[in-house]
Amino acid sequence: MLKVENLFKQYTSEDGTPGGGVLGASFEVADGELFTLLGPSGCGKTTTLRSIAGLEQPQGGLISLMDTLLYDAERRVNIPMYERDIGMVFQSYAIWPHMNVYENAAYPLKVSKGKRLSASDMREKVRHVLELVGLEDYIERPSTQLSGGQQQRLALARALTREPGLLLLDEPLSNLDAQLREQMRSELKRLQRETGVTAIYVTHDQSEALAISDRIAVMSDGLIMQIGSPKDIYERPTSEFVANFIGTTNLLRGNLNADIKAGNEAMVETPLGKLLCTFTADVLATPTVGVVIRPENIIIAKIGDDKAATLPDSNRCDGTLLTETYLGEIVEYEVGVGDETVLIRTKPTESLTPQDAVTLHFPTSQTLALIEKSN
Amino acid sequence: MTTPNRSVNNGLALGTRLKNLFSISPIVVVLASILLVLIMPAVIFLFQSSLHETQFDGSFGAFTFQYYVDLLTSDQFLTNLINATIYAVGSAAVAISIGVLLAWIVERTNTPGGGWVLIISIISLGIPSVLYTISFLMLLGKVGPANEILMWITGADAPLLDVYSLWGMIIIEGIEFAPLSYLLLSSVFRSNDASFEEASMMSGAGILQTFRNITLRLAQPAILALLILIFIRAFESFETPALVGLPGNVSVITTDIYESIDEVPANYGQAGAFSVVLLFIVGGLLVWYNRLSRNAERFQTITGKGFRPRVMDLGKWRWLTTAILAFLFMIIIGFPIGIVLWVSMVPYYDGVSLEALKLFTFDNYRTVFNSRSFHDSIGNTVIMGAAAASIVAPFTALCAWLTVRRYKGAWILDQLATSPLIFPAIVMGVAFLQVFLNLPFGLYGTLLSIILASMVRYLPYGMRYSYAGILQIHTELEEASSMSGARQTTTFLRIVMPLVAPAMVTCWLFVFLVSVKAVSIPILLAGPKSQVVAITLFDMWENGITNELAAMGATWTGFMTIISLIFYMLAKRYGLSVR
Repeated sequence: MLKVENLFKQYTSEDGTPGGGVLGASFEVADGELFTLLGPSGCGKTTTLRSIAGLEQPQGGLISLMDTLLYDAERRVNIPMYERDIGMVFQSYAIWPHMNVYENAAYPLKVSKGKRLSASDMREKVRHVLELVGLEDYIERPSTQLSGGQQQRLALARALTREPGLLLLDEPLSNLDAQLREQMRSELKRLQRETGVTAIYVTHDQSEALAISDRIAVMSDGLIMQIGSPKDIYERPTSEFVANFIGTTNLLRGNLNADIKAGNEAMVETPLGKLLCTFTADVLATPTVGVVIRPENIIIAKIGDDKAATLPDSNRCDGTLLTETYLGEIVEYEVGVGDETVLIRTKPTESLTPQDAVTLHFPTSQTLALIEKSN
Repeated sequence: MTTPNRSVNNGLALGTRLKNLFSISPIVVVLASILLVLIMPAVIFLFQSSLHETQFDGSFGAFTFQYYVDLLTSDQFLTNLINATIYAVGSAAVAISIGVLLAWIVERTNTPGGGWVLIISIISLGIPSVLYTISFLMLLGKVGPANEILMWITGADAPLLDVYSLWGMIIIEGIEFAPLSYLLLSSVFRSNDASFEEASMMSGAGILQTFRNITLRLAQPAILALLILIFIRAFESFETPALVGLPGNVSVITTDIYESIDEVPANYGQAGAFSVVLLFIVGGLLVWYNRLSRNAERFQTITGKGFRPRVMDLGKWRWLTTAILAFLFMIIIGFPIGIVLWVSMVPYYDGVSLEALKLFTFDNYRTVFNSRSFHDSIGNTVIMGAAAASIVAPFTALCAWLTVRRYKGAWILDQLATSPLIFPAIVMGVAFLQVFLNLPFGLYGTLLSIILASMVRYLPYGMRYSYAGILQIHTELEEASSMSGARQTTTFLRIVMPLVAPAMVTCWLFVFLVSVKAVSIPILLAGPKSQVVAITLFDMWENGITNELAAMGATWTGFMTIISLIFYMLAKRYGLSVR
């Protein structure tokens, strides 16, 4: 469907030093997929999106959509944005204030090359797409009288009227307030499923990305760190960056003091003692590794409890409960083990109080050893 | 029961009202009185002069409506009104076409050359309007290069263009207003979110389609407001109609005013009636303009978050836009300055040719530098500009501060100080002429009279700069001073003044530049001993002393461009909008 190969575009800041951009990104998006580019600001996700749109001209690489070559640095192909079969929703919506709802949505049909529709066909098509986003009662309304959410819907409708081969969404929810954002999020997903349009979604909000995507590409400093399903990305991060960026995590520095055992497990020396860890990527000849474990995967028990007795002996360590934070559906504990502080989340069923002596268990399957980020 | 109660209430209300009246700060009362003393006599005498028979000595005779009756029943007046309208509409159209093109290329595309446009703005603020108009007469006149080129192309043996006509006035005035049009439009184009255009491109529209459907349409309210602004400015302009229109027998209302005063004996009543009519037309248009420009701003503020000031990549079309920029630069600044320099270097002007190169000489400059009247008029002009600016800058700073800090009644100061805006310069000249003619002490013909009139005329400009400057000072800076025990006067002198100083310097320079540029006020008020540069240039042109005029004009423009450059640097440094 969409193929991006070695996309390269580097900005130069005013003093001549290289600024941000994309430094060689490759990925493919399948038909009907909702693919998300996720990363902190300045990671190159927007540059990637704008390069696909044609709003930005890359300096290297290749972009093709279905059988059409959109950009190829070597063959000097660069199809202008207005000839690409792509619809886009902008961060600011960019709803033209001098046109009403209908005119905004109908604009792509009026200006794009090729297919000229009869007035009634056009009207029918625009009405259909406005119905899809729930704006059918606002057709004649001046666009300046729309609320933020309605502008958002109109921007989406406008991007869809042409029935483009690809839909690009540039942080479309970032201008909405929290409640509306969640509502629009599920609606976006529903619309994408209903229309079956292939979509690329750019966001810096990890929970948004996890909720909406079929697959996620996590980007950092112009490079793609990992591509995978939301579950993969969350549960099997292959780098410290991804583990840290998505969700909350405990990170430990460790030394690999033995060979990787059968499968992909090995014993790692950590400040909490020896832990049998799962390796998510091949370990190079670097003996130092990072060990990450999500707070909800650590099992906690008061020493002397029945529960403590049932825990396996391996991957265990003892510590002192420092703080307890009650958050409603979960409780957060901070446990001091030596110089380290470990964060734990559980259902509020334990009856622990600060200064209790506790014991922790780290299940091997969820205790991940990662290659330390080289820089 | 109810009756006494009500009377008590009334009494209270009246008392409060009186108290409110007296609680207006004394400083506001003093400043408002000064403004009234400066403005009101001019207004009163203007109306009086149009309603009384003109006496030989300039004093008022019997009451009469004759001047208005004459005016409204004369065919000539109708013709001139139509002339003025065509001229103003045409000039606005020319100025806006150039302005839109310049602003779009510079602000919305990746064409290099924004620097050229800055040069245009700087020089056009420094060059006297008279000289600018004259330079186009040299370019487009019978022996000018434009006609020569046309004759060479078409093979005609007589000049094809007659610049002394309505279209000549339109072209010249339109080009003169192009920099203003560019400046106002560039801020409009700059503040538009690029996503509006990108969304159009992503909908499949090309660059030209996007420009037409989105960029231009979004700027439409601002363009309409600008159209009216330039219409007003051209309608009330004097230099171009006087230098271009009068020789070609095209009259407009401003030249009618001038001619009624210039004839012997001067027909002040006639001039007064013309002025009052012009005042009402301009006043009405300004009200309309204010409504439209407020509307335009409302329209402009609709941009979402995630604002991206991006420009459009024109790709291979960049050479075309660069060429257009270069061409416009030559038309607005290059050719006019070039011809003035050329004419200043030859003994007599007979077109631009290679043979004339051999005659190049600095004699004109020598003559001008050694001329007594040149020194006098430069001295007068500098004194006039500096005096007007030195009064306007601090005075408006005080008025603006009182207004911004919402002192009771201070809105009156704002209204009064901006009210001269509705006076076309030539009408202001007529009004002050009446005041000075009828004053018992002899101000007429003195430099002081020009200073007073210019000062009042440019009060609104000063007010605009001071206002913007004061707005930038956070209230807490002053409150901290009050909490330290300083009184209002101390706070103003020790906190406000130093903070607003950069804005005041910019304001000073701007008022200086615009007051020495214009000819309309001094042409009616200046006497033999109070000649200023603009008038000297005007007279030299009328008397055919072209080459020395060019030498003097070039020298003066050089000085003024330096001052204009300083103004631009300061305005940019302190983030004041440059208009």
